[in-house]
Amino acid sequence: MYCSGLVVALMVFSLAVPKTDVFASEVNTQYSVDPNSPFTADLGVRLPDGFKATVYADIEGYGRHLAVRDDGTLYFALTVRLGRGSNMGIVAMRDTDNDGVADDIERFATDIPGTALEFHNDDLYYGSKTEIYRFSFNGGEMVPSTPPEVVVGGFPEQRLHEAKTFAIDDKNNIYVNVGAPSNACMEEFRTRGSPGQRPCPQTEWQSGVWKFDADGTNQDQKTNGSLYATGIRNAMAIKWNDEHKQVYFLTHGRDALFTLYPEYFSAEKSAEIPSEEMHVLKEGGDYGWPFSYFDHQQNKRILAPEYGGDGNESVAVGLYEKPIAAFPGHWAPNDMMFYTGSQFPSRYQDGAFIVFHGSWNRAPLPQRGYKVIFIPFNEDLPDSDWEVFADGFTGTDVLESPGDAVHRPTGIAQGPNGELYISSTVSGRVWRINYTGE
Amino acid sequence: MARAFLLILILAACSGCLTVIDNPQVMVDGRSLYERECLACHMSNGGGVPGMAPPLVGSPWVAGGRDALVGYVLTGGFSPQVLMSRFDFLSDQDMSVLLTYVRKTFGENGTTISTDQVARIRSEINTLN
Repeated sequence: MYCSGLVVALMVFSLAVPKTDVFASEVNTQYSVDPNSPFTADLGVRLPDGFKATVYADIEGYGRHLAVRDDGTLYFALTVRLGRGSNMGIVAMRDTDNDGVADDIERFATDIPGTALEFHNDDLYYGSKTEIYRFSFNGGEMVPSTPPEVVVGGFPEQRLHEAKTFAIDDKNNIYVNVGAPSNACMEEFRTRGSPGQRPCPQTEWQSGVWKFDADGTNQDQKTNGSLYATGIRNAMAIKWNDEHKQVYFLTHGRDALFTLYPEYFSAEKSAEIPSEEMHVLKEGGDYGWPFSYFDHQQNKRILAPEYGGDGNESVAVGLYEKPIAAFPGHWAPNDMMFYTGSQFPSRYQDGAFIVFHGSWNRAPLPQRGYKVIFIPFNEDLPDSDWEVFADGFTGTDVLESPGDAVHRPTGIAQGPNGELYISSTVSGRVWRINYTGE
Repeated sequence: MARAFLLILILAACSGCLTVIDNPQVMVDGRSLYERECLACHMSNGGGVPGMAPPLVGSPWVAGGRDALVGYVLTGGFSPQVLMSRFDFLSDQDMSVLLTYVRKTFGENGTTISTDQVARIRSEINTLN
């Protein structure tokens, strides 16, 4: 199936359980942000009718993921990476007078740059570049008074795709994403004509998900972990769903098809593919990196050019997992969550919010992504077209260069009253979003 | 070895400016080459991608010594950010046109880089490899 609505192209596929295939090629405009609605630059975000955002905090630093404790305290990770970021660690925030703006702000773990945050049994888990930490709280203290424990360490040091994001299931297993340290496992990094390595040595301890005991201490990847799934370039967005009892994730697809293989790909084609893939995490699953990528325009998994592909040759069906949803290329899914609150209208219940950090590898075409989308679920799979839930982050209609974006959304979390929080990397801003119906 | 050579280049003062050829076609061809080889990461305005690809505007590599720039692009980058691949597959002619365009556009209207200069640097790198 070829889809000409490239910018908004999305196709949703059935998994093993044969449902009616749903091919969503358009944004569901009924519920999306109205592209003609006014935009307030000072606020920096635009939402569908009925939702209201406040600037919860502006934190100096390179923002990452968020987590909310049951008492409503918001925790916000800061990292330093690739020459960016001024502060690191975790920022704890409370809005004591409930005006939508944090008025009690404290910091801890300021010597640990990290990305992922999640509460499990009232402990705060924090994923840095090479460890997963666990912070315990004494009663209602906002900042942990005791040092963290290392849950898992020993991950390879790497500059690219280094964030250790994770999901924790209902049996105290923690699934840690260990990203691939390269684009496509070429013999020479991003070098035209350099073949892909087979076997790819970067799949031994990277480009997969490893499983550990979430209650454990001082575990090591090489001695205590088990490789749970492989062929995953970088699952920045990874989340346990307690209703369906499985982990969902989205990967960052590979780059540079046009620059490395101009004989097979136009700049325009390369701007739209490969798909940003959404999957269910399966034990023993192989998700195809670096040997293949998914092309939603052709609705098939394509042999990567580093491994002899020409942009059209597909790989055998069944060799690698098929996505349950596929989004336009280079949008960079950085986080996701399932909505379980009761504040938002019922149609949001159990659907997924996905945060797209936004592209760089679309130039010379305008950059895209830079938004939060919502995709409704039916049972355990995406059910229909997705919709734009939050946009306007870039502060401009046409973004040529990522460096010009005022905000870049990166993290999302749900508060105890069903409100949402969204964070930005480059600006360190956090918004709180409530449904008012107005 | 190529990296060591680059360090030598950085330390060595670039002297003896070559003749500046003010040829408008160089800028046209240079832009075309830039769009093909460089724009994806360094962007149309030379601003780069924060945290991933450094800007060319304001870069001492672009505005500074020409031997060092040629050596850098021929052998690949070693920045704290994402590594740039090597571009030694470009011909001496293409490399000189491309880098002349880059220096004039993003490097404070820098002087040209000649085909001979590219050939000389390439030859020196090859003797080291």
